[in-house]
Amino acid sequence: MTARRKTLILGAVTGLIVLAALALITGVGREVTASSSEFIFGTYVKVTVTGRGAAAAAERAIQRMKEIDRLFDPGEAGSDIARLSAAAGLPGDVTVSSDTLALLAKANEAYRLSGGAFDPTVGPLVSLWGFGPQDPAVAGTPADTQRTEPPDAAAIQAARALVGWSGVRWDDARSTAALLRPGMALNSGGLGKGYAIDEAAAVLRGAGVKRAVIDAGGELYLLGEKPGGQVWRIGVRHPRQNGHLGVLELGPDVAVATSGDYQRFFDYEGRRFHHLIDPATGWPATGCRSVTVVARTSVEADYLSTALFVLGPEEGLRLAETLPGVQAVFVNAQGGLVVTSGLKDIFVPTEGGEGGG
Amino acid sequence: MVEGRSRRKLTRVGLRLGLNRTDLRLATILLAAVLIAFAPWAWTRIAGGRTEATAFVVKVHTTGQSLRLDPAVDGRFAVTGPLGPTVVEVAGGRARILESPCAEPSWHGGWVSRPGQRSVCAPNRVVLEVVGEAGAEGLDAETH
Repeated sequence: MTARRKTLILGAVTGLIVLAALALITGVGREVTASSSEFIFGTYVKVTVTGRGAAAAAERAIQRMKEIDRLFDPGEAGSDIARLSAAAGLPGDVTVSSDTLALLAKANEAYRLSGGAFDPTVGPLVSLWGFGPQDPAVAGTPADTQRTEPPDAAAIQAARALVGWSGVRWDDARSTAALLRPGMALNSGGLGKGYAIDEAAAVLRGAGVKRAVIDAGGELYLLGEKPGGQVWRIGVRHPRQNGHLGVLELGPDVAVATSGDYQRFFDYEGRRFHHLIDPATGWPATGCRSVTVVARTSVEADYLSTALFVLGPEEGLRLAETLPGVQAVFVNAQGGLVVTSGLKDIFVPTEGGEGGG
Repeated sequence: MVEGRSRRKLTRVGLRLGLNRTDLRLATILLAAVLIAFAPWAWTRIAGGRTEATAFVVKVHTTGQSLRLDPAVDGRFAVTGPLGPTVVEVAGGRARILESPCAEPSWHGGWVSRPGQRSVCAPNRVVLEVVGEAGAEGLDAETH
């Protein structure tokens, strides 16, 4: 070996080591994580993206969700949902966006699948109970008065008469929709947020994102895989205690949503009255304390968590077992845990984590 | 001298491997360069190797006003959102939104204590977040 060649080899090896050191220091090749957050749908939304262009992609996803919120926000006078409710029972259909038509199609799917336990026209009942949409900081509207006791039976009956999916008509070809009876109102809650999360996930995929978490007030979409093929570990909040009921260990591209009686409620004479109203009775559903749903899309997870809560643990469990890609964790009215068969291996209950207390 | 002897020994080993004195001098210089290049990284590993302590961060989204609270220090702390003051209570290593100018206090969801948990007063644009190392649970998010 000539002296010149030896020097060259030594130089090259050392150069590579120096480059590796520089890469470690400057973070070249290290995956960048960035997040963007905003108050949308009256809740705190955070999109966390890992990979190249993370910050820009997270921001684009947030912007898409804001765009959908402007269409679905019942408190914003010009929104599709507000215009539909304002024109309820009047002649002439309302021109709506393609997002609203897509939402109506999903609402129809939810209504049919749940046998009416999920009804997007439940709005008048929800408002009567004091759980109507409100976001004074955004809409500039006064907050609903917090109820301290249930409405009287006559008022519940009157509001129930305004509920009914058959009173909604829409036409994809003409991009129009209408509520057929005066006083009807569409409620995008339990559906709109899930739809927006799916759209945000589509934006991220379009931007080439391979890994992200979209968290809209505890409603989640987990895009892609964690490094090394690890599972996503998601804590399920306990409906009565500080802490978790258990942990879901999930693979890539899944949505998780929870409906609980602890989210919006008031207590009256030792009984809890919450925002998940059963359209059939006009009263808050009584079968569960919380229901967490795992599904392939957020819109499914969103409406199913409401529908299964209203159906209760027995009927809800039966329905969940028939749906492909759907799993559910129920905490029944007594605090007992009920889980679908497919969750037995991927839901790890916290020690002493029964939903009681 | 011991140092001189070990140096001579190294030189002998080097010479047996076919390296001449110039090569060895070069190798020594390059080795020093590599050590210097890695020094900042090694330092960050040593200095930054400690786990991030858990803290409660209270932030007003509209103004960017932010408080960082120590879980070991009990007390009540206020930030001002668009609707007025939101009071956060720290007690026994936990934190919660105690008072806020909104219609439904039940929205806030009670106490938080583990990294990744958060409590929000949406009308007043206030976020209370627990930051720190994920700990044994190592959760990616929480559904509620």
